[in-house]
Amino acid sequence: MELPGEASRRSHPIPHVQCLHLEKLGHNGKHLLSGLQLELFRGELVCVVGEMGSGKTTLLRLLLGLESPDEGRVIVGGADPSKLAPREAPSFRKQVGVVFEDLKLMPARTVYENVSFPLLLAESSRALIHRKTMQSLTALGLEQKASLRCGELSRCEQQLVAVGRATAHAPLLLLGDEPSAHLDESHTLKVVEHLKSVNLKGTTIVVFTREPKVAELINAPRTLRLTGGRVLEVGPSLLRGTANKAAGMGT
Amino acid sequence: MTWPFVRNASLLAVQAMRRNSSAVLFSLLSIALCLLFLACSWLLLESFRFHYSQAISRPKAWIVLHEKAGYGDQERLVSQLTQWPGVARVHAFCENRGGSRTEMLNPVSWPWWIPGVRTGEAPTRVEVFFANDGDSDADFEALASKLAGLSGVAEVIGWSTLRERLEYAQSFSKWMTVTAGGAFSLICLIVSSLFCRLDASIRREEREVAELLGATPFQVRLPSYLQALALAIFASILCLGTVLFLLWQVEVPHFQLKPWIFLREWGRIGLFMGVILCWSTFLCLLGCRLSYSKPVRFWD
Repeated sequence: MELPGEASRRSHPIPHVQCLHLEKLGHNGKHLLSGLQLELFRGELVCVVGEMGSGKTTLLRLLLGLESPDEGRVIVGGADPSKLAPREAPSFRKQVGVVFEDLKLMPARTVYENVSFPLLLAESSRALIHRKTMQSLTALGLEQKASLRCGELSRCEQQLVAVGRATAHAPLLLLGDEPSAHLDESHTLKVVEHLKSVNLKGTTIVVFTREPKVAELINAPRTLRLTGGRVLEVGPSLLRGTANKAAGMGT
Repeated sequence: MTWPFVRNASLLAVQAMRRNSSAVLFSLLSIALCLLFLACSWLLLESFRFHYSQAISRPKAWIVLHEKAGYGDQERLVSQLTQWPGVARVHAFCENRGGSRTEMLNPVSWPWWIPGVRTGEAPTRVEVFFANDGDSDADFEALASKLAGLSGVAEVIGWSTLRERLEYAQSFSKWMTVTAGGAFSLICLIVSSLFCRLDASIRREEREVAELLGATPFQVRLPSYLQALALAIFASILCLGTVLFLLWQVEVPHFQLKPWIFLREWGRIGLFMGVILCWSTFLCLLGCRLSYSKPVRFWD
């Protein structure tokens, strides 16, 4: 029987993302991550489930190079993001799409401007930028809202804009921190479908979520469970117990 | 950097300028005013240099008349001096009071521009040009001491003293211009830097997001640079427009000190406009660059 992510490992023998013995202490001296080991291969779709304070956002920030680990190393695409020179950091970030937990949209700018921003940094053809932006907006059902300012949208719509912005430029790596946090079920489904379609185009996707239900919806080949700063469980089947537990049903 | 990004940054700069219209107006007027002072000090320096070269081209002396001397005394002195050997030409300032007033008011539309022009003031000075350029300074001084013996003469300023005074005036004007130019340039720099700092703080959230999405520091700052560039261009246009308007209004062939003498040719007008435009652009862009580095964060 083939293990989850095995196909991806066969086609890309060098891991796209590697976390080696990661240790990260919080401000109060508590271990946010302790000895975390993780390998992701190019084109993989991975779901990382963990409760609040389990270290999901810390791991995302480490992968993005916004923080550096106290111990261990992070390697993304052969480079350590926390040790990138200031000149190299922008080109690294252009290749990574991120859905931040607090969305980090530009509220004074329109939906179209927000979604097209990463494309503006990378593409030189206006027609191409327009096409890709509209594709992303249409996939998320935002095409009618393109000219509205993000500050005027509901939280749910803002969440969709954040997902659209992270996926519009088809990044090599996509990190989603609670990408469905403010969405109802139908919109969550839409986002999951969109993420899967982006993954099919070759983007490595890591979705961080606290809701096992979302992880079930994603049904990723590999699902990791983050508890106390360590990856404890691997595999989608093991999640069912967690989901039931969360729903109060037990296993 | 891609063209669509530059276009987008330009639109963003226009939006930001519309949003901060009062700050834009204040900065624009301040920079234009500083540039105007800067331009005027430069023109004055050029004028001094022109007059200095003319003033030292021929040996001469100045005769200062007694306080009580009238036009009759001056006319008598002038007719006496023209008979003298060694005197080539005599120039009496403001030969008659009506003529002096007309001479000064004619080229200017607004009389209040000229302070101190009142009827009833007596002329006080006569300029004497010596005939022989080959003579030594000592010969000119001897001639000047002879002039001192004439009636109605209070003081004679000889050629060597005159030259010293002119040299001092020229060096003083040069240093004054450099100091004034430096001060006005500094004010321009500070104003543009504060303006960009304000813009940067307004767009702080947006700048952070742009950086997270992979924009380079230059891309993040581009809208501010474009705003600084627009300020520099508009301020230069305002300043140059004012200078050329004044030039058109005050064409002053009769003034002793011709402030616009440097702008007597089209080539020089072009050079003047180019230098003002380039200098203001440099100052505003430098101010903008400084606003994103540590020294100006002091004002935060």
